[in-house]
Amino acid sequence: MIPKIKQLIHFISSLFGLDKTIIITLLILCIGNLFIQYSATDKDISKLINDGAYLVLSFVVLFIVANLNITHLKAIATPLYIFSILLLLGVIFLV
Amino acid sequence: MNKSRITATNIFVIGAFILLVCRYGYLQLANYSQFLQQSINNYSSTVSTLPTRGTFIDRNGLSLTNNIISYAIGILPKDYKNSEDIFSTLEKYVTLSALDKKKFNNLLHNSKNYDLVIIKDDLSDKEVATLTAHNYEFPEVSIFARTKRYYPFDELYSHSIGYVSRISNSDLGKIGKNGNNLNYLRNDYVGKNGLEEYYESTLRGTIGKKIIQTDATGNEIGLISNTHAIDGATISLTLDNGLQKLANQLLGTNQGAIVAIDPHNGGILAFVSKPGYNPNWFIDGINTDDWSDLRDDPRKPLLNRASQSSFPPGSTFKPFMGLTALYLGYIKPYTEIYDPGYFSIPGSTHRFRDLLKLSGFGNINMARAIAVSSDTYFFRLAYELGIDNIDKGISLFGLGKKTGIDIPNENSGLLPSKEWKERRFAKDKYQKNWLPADSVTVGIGQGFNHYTPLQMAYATSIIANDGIAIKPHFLNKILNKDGSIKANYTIESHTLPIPKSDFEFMKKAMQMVITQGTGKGIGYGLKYTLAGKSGTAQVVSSVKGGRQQKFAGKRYKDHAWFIAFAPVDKPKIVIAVFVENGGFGSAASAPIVRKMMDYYILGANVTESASFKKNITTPDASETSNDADNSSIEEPSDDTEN
Repeated sequence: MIPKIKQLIHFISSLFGLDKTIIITLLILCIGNLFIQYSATDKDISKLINDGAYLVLSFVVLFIVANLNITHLKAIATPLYIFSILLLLGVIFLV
Repeated sequence: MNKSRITATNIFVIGAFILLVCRYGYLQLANYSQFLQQSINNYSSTVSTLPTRGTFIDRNGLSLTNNIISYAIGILPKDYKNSEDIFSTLEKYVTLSALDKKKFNNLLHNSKNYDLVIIKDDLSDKEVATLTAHNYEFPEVSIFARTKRYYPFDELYSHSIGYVSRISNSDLGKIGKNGNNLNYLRNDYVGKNGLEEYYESTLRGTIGKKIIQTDATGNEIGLISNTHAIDGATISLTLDNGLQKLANQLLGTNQGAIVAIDPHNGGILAFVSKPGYNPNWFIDGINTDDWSDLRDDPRKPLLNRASQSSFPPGSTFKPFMGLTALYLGYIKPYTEIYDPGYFSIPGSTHRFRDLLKLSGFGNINMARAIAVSSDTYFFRLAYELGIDNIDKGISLFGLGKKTGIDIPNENSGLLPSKEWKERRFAKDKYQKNWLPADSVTVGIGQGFNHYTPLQMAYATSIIANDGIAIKPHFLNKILNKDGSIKANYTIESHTLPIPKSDFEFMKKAMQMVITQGTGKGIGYGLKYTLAGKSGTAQVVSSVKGGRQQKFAGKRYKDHAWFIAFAPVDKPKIVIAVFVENGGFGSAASAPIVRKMMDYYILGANVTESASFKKNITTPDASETSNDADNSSIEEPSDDTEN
């Protein structure tokens, strides 16, 4: 059983190209928080699905960014930085 | 229940965050330097500047290797877009072979952004002019000059200095084990052979590194640091170019080797192995045709006969046998033995004969036995000593062991022993036991034993030095760029436990070789004292009535040896000459020794010193010369040569 878990951890960390301790802890936290939220919202399944979808989306974005070639990322570093600032501002003013 | 679930959830969340903080802390604090470097790499690029490779000079300061300017075209990987576009543009002005394109693509694949990748090297002046005029059509391609190794003496030093060539993955792997692989680029040169390989770290120098700051698109925007390249040191060798050229010339078209040593310090004065090859062919990769020619040449030009190949020493082995017998107290210098022209092992009717002196020399002592090269005397001596004692004495002269010379892949030769034979013929119950006849044949330098010309020269230098063994070497000193001395070679020596009087006796005996023995042909008109010993090593066994017809070709002719030193009282030079399938040692090798001695001691011109040539004759049964002294051997000996 333990070797299979180890294989799964290795597969997930290699999939994201990130530090395996961090990625696994993040995954556990996120999934745990989904359940906490599900419990806190009186077992609202639509909320669970909605947040679950956002979570999956965020991990897909994480996967893409982590696997982008650093030289390509460097080439769009400035516009990406401005975009991320705008997103932060959006969180403050729009949400 | 609810409360306990909340507590468990809190513990889980806090625990997960503590784990995250610890991990971040570990990565950012413990692995600080690694990630800092990665971060620097993200906004910087390294431009490497190559050091100029150190050169070799001979003992008189003459350059034996040069660094010449070579023009090339290359491109930085960061500027590279499409190879076909670049090739098609360049091919309007310069010919690019399929090999050039393949090499370029290989190098490009393994190079960093700012490592200039060469597209074509060794451009002619016309090509440089044309490419420069049209450079606007391919601005990403650089036309530049760089230094490149050149061997001005072609094959003369091919087996001593060796050559450099483009670095391979296996070279990088080997260098990486010493932690020096960062000192090389993918399109770099590295010593592949000979002294170029042995002194690689000294000659190489240190690569320069300019770290530049780049923007997000890779353009240079500033300089972070600049470490200049440190050029390699110049290596002064003990070789004497004049003597080397003469030795090479005297060997002519023969296959063979010559090693000359300065007995005072062990410095190699000449080191020739023929045939050789042109090391310039290897620098940028030898073409297939030339490689096939070298590889398939039956004369084996790639084989270093001086230190990497060993041969039966023939009668040049006798002085060492004599000293062994004197040292172990088996015989006195002037004890006489009756030589009837043959020797029989007690209880056996088989006769080991001196075929060229069938009547024998009568009563004979060791000095005369050396001078006339009596086989019978040494057959008997070897039989009485036995192989264990022979090993004990002969090994003192370094025979059968590597001399430790500063050149790679030295052959240790073979000093046979009972243990060796048992291992060698482990599967053959008849062959594996050491027989008295084996000792008898070893005693005259035949049978199983074989040594390199370098080992024979080294062993002779021990006699010349009255028992002081000085390790042979090529290195004289290491010089800085300004010519000042960086390091001197430290002589390594030890003294043999054999009494000096025994060496003095053997030197006199070897002098008699020149004055009245097998080497008297080269003693004519000598203006200095010379001591030596000839040797004729049989390649195939003989049968009664002469050689078998199938061994009639030159390939089966005897090997000719001559070892010598001069002047006898205060030797300045020791020479070992080996002519493969050359015939008689006193006829094929001795004249070479005399000319080299004249050149080195008298400074005489080769042609002027040729006056003794008329006295050189091939020994035959009618002469006292008994140099073809191994013709009684019945053991096939061609397997001892490698």
